[in-house]
Amino acid sequence: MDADSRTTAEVAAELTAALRQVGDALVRVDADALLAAEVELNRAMANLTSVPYAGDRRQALGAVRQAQAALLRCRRLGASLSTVSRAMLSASAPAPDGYTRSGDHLDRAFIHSFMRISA
Amino acid sequence: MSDLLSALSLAARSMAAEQAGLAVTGQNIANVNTPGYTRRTIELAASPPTDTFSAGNGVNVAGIRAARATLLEAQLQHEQPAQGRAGAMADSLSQIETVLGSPGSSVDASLTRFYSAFSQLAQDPASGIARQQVLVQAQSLTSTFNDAAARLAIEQRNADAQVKSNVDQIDQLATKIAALNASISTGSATAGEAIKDQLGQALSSLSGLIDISVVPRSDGGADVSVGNGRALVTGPNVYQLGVTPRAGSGLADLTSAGSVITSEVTGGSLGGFLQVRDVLLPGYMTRLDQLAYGVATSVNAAHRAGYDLSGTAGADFFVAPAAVAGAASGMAVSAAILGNANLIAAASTTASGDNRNAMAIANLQQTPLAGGTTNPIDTWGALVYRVGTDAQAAASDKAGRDEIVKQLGTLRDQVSGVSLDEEAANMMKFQRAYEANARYFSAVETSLSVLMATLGRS
Repeated sequence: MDADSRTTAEVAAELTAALRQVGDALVRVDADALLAAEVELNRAMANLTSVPYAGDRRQALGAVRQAQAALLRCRRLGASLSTVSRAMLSASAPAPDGYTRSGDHLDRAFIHSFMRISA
Repeated sequence: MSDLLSALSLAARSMAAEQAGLAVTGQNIANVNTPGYTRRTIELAASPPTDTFSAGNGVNVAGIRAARATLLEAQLQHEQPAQGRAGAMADSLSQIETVLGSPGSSVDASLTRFYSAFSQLAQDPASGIARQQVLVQAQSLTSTFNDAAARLAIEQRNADAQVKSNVDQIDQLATKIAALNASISTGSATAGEAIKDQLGQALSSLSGLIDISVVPRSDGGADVSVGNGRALVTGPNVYQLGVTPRAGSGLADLTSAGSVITSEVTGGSLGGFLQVRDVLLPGYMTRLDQLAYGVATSVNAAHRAGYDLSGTAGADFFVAPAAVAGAASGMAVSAAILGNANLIAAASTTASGDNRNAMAIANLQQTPLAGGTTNPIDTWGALVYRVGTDAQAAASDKAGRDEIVKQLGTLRDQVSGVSLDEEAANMMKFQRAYEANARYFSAVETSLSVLMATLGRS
């Protein structure tokens, strides 16, 4: 469909779908799905800024509100992920004196003599 | 010969280590659906050589560890009380919303029919049928108010019952945690990991019921406090919460070591039920009482200004409410009028056929209540709208919290059992992938705001 022939509500719905894809990927903590959603979001964003406002006003308002709700969801989930990532990255980075995130002392020579098997 | 024995010994040690690895894998697979189970990892250490000409003596099992994501567990314990609170509020409010009925089919419908009955009476003020119809609709209105007040009171009692039930569950979990603490301090290291799994599960359940502070003990156990640092579990000792009836209402107040701590608990499903029982429902009940009080006093004032069929000055139409509190539950039609419809004051003078007082009472439907800015039906609408928006906000909050808890659970499952390096790499990957999307968010927000403003103007 030609982008210019679409209504504002349709473009907003497309953006909502892209944002929901981002939100779903954030819930699943799926990095690949997050990266795939970026393409959709990019396309939806480009359409939103280029399509002239047209169509039923009430329908468009509803669609824009849904997009705002989807964006809020992404922000909320993203904030949660960022907080955890930041905390875990700083905690898992070995400190100069060598302590793990759980507070155990890291003896590097001892650690490197280990082979970990994860089941 | 000694070389051969060494080689055989090395092979035996390696096989034992290999079998231990398989046993750990089997244990992990067997417990894949066990709630709270943390994946075990085996740590193998190279056996040091006995002389300078040996490469080493194979491999030994250095230990079996549970791969706990302690930071994520802590984050979950932080989020779960908010999730529990939102869930409890959403459930309670959806019931309250149902209890109040939909617009046009509850108190508002009764109000409309009541004022319409006076309007009908104004058309034929001497009509016995029209007068009986006023009484029928007045009784219907009072019973609707009584019913709405009773239903809200039942919802408050239901919330109170949930509070007591939550306290029982909290005490059971606290007792279990104290017992697990005792087992951890006395049990073996291997058994300890299984007990720590149970402890993690118990703490997770507890954090859904009430907001808790957890302080890990050096032996792997946990001390738990609630409210403003009130001890719930300290090592093997448990300090149970209690309930005591509140003076006046009889609702359950929470106690800890003899002190009332109800106001200190805000999170978990307990916090949610307390918020509904002590804040939201009393607010709705007060609004309902204000409406009933306003309707009764305005109709009474108008009725006293008129004259009945025999030309006698009108009395109170409704039993005069003593105060705003309890006005809805106590609303009733005057017994004298109920027994004699001719006492309805439809006239504003003693002249026969005067209908102006009935008209004046019918017009109260459009008149703002004393001390307010809205008429009775709009006042009821505002109450229903308020309950609806509270319910919607709670449901939306619950949905958001559910997703965050699910996200943290997924993260925990993904990172447990991997090395610190892999864990850090995963976190970097998630963060980068999120940032790729997040760079659009400000632009999206701006565009949506502009679009909303444009649509709002058009």
